[in-house]
Amino acid sequence: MVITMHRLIRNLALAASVGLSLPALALDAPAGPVVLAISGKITKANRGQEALFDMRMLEKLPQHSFSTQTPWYPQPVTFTGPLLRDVLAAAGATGGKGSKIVAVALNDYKTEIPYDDVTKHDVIVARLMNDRPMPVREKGPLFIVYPFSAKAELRAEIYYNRAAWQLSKLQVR
Amino acid sequence: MRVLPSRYHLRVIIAGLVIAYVAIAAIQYRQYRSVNEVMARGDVNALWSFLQLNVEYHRLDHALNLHQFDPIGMPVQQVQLRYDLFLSRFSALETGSARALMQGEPIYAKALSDLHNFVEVGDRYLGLSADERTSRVNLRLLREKLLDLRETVQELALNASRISALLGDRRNLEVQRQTVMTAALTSFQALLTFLLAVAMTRQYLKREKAKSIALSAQAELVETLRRNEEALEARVAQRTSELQQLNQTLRAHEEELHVARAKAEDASQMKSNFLANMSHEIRTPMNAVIGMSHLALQTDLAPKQRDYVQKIHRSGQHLLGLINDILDFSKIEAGKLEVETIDFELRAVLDNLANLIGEKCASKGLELVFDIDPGLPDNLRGDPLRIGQILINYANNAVKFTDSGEIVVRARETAREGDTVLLRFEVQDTGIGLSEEQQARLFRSFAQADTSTTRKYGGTGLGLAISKKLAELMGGGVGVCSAPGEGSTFWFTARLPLGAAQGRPLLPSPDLRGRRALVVDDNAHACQILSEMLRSMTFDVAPAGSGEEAVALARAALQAGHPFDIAFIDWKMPGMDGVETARQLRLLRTPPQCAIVTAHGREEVFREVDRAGIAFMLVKPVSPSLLFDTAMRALGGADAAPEASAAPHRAPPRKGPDLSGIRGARVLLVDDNDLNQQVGSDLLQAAGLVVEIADNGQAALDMLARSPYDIVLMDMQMPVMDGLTATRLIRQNPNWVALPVLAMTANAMRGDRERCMEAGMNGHIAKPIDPDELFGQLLAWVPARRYAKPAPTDDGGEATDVANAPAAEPTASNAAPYLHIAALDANAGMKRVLGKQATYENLLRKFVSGQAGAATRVRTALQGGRRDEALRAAHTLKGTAGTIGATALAEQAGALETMLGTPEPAPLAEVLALLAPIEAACAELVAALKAALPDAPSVTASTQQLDWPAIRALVARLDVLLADDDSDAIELFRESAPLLKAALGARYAEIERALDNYILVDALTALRRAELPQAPTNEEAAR
Repeated sequence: MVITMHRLIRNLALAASVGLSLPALALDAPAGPVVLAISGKITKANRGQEALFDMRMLEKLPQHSFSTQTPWYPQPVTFTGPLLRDVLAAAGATGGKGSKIVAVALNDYKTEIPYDDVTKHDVIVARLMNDRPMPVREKGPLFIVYPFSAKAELRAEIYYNRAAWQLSKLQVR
Repeated sequence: MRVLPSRYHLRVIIAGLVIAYVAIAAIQYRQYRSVNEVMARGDVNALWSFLQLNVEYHRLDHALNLHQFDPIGMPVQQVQLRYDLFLSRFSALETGSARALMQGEPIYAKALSDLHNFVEVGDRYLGLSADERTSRVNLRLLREKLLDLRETVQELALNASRISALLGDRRNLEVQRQTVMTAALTSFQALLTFLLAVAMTRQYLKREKAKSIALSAQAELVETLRRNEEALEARVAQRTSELQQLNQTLRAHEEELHVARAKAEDASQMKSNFLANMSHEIRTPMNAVIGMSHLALQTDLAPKQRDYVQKIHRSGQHLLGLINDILDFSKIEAGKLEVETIDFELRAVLDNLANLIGEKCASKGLELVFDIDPGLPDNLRGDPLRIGQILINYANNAVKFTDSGEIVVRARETAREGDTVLLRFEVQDTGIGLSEEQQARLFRSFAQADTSTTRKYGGTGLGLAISKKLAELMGGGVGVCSAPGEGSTFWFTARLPLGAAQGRPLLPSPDLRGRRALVVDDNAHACQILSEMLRSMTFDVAPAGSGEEAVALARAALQAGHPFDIAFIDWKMPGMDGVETARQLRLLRTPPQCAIVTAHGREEVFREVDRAGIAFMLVKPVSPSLLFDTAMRALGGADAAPEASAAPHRAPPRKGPDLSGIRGARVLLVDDNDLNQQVGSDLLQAAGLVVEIADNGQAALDMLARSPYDIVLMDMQMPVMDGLTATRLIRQNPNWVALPVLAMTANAMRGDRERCMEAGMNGHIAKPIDPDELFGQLLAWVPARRYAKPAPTDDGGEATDVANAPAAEPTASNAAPYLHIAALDANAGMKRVLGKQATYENLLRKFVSGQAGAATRVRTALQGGRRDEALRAAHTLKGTAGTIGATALAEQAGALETMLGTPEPAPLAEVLALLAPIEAACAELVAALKAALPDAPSVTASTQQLDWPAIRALVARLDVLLADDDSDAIELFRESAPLLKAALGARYAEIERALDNYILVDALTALRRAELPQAPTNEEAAR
């Protein structure tokens, strides 16, 4: 609990500093290994046409956390990470209604996420599961998670398919 | 019975359906569960995981292989990533659907354990790689280990694929099975539903059938009801039509009735018209008969002719009475008899009765007494003619059924309510009387006492019925009190409002003579009769045959300066009728007074005449007295204007005979008519005579008893006591034997004059009064010489102021010896005769001769039980004693009269006690007077001077003629009337009456009874 609180406070502080500084700042270049590359219709590329994120950059974004039942684990699991729309915003994605996002996993799994999902649902790019970073062999390091338990409509195969794990790339189309 | 199984079926079906639904639900739930299970196990993802494991296996193998050949192109990090990715697939196998799919396979557990073993070795190899070389070795070793897994991974994928296929098959089978089951259930459900529908349909049909049966039953009921209603309606219609038929019949009947009624009404109307016409048609000839006979009687006729004409006249009047009765009765029957309401004077009604009945009573020798309550109001409102009619009817009956005695007419007021009085009139007779049975039949139409009476006395028997009806119309009733042989008293009552007192006193016209009268009648006879009557009353008469002619005549007369004073106009004339004529005449500058004369009944004409504002109306046949009264009222009551205009035509004040010889003479004028009174008194006073007036015979007698008069002018017909009766009573009193009494009458008939003479009158003056005739008569009868000497010398003027005349008379000479008689106030007595000494002395002389035996007469009468006679004697004594101034004696006699007059007779002794002093006083006074009075002139002188031999010769001749039944006797009798009258005394009248009636035998008897003085016989003998 104490750890959770500290983390929350830190996350909040981060969210405040990032929220304030975002409009003014261009996307920083990744300092550590790149965990996510966003391409396509973006305005804040930091390398070539892509906006690249290391885990730190994602940590700096406002963090969200929820617990949900999934088809992949027999027990409910708590996921933590920035909102997908915050991540896209950080990349200056210009997608709107009608556009879509193609999520690509490390094993080249691809799935299409309508841009609407990003705005309608608090979809997060989870980097922690049960407050622990996720290794590749455990569907990490990033996992797109819908709040399945919060909304019944999300408990469908189509949303389970959109929840891409071992996420490595997002293409805004 | 049929419904129950159906309901049972339905229940079974519904139960079956419920069971089927439950079964279907259960099956579908199971289906859902099993499909779910199959779906879960047969998840494509599960198969996908196994296939992905296989793919990642080969990609790791490839990466390891590449790393062996090109460690730079394929760095360890890449291999590590691929290794991690491969491992990540393990977890997918261990959980979820993949695990569920492959759980039961032996390869699955072996594969998992192999894989875990691989991970332990692999992690060690990758973790131990400290340098490139060792890593190559390790990785090569790892590849070898990986190759060992190749069979397992392959097997696992193939198994998964096979199992997945199996699962698909099973799922398909399951779906198929369940689809079949569902279909079966659905079919069963459909069947049940169908059955339900069938059952429901059946039930519906049954219900429909039942309903239709019910409906048809209801319809049948409705139909029955409708039929009943129709039957009822038909019956009602039938009844209605029957009723209509009945109504129609009734209406037809009603129409018939209507027609019948109209006919009846027509008949009634025709009857009324007929009666009206008959009234006219009968009255017109009756008028001629009565009028002509009246006129004929005024001409010179042979006694036989006179007798015939008189009988015609009387029969005519009788017939007229009968006709009037019948017409009245017809009106009663038709409900058309009406009574008027006009102001009238009761006295005039009674006057008329006296006029009519007086003659009849006189001719039958009956005494007619009027007993009228002096307190009766004179001015009343009602129908004077109808009241008179009843009274005349009663009185006529009384006369008819009474042979001797008296007839008393009584009038009393019996009640008064506000302004209305109830008058009771009675006519009492001393006739044959009526039994009770007869009384009961009276007052009925056509009923008389009995048929024998009818034969004996004649009459229609309608009079009493009419009287009854009239009395009832006047709010009263009728009745009779009678017993056979004791006379009858017929009475009637009438409720009459009080009338207004005469607002404007009539202005009397002193002289009617020479007035101009216009007579208008289309009937020449009627015109002639009326004209003649008026001429006999000295009118200047102009006849006219039509209204137009009358108007023309009146205009011409007006232009000539001699307008008509009065017009008598027939009501019904062709062209311009009476009312219109009157209207036209009244438009003239100086209009005549108009009187309508009608032969129709009063009712028919009265209203029209009244509406036209004509005050005077005469019904034919017109009697002379009525005609004169009407003229008197019309002209006397005329306004000042016509009076003034008429004045120039009146005879100017004429120089009459020299009346100076009789100036101051006292005249008693007896007349009930105020106008006549005024005319007479004006004329006489203008001539310097003293006039006193009495209203009737009784009043005249009373006045005569109080004071002496030189002459009496007596009207014949008056209420209470008529002139004839009064004259007879005067003659009975020895004091008044020589008192001149002159008749005054409008009745110009000769018979009247004769009756006057018979009653003891000295002469006759016709109305209207001719002053010359009047003064001539006065001169002839008033003993003038007594006044000639003591009369004062004239002051030059011929006419002395009447008021001064008595005052100018000197008082009695003081030398007169009777002035000193103690019991006599001579001065008072002298004043009463206006100071005429001679008159007074005459009075005294009469007292001596008349009242010397008065007390004795009273005593004799009392002792003989004749109280009335005693009363009369006492009354006369009182009056005469009072007149001469013997006041004390008068008072005593008055007391005696009062005592005798009380209804309860005082004891004889008491009366006699009162009489004694009177007797003494009277005797003393008479003795004193006899001594004091100078000798009276002999009144028998004239009798003494008669030419008795001539009379006797006359009587002898008369005797012979009468014995021969020769009517020349009548001529002779008339020619020698004055002489015979003087000689025969009372017998004269008897003989005259007999001759008038043409009963010569009676005349002869009377003549032979006449006692002629014995002296002539002696004288004859001396010759």
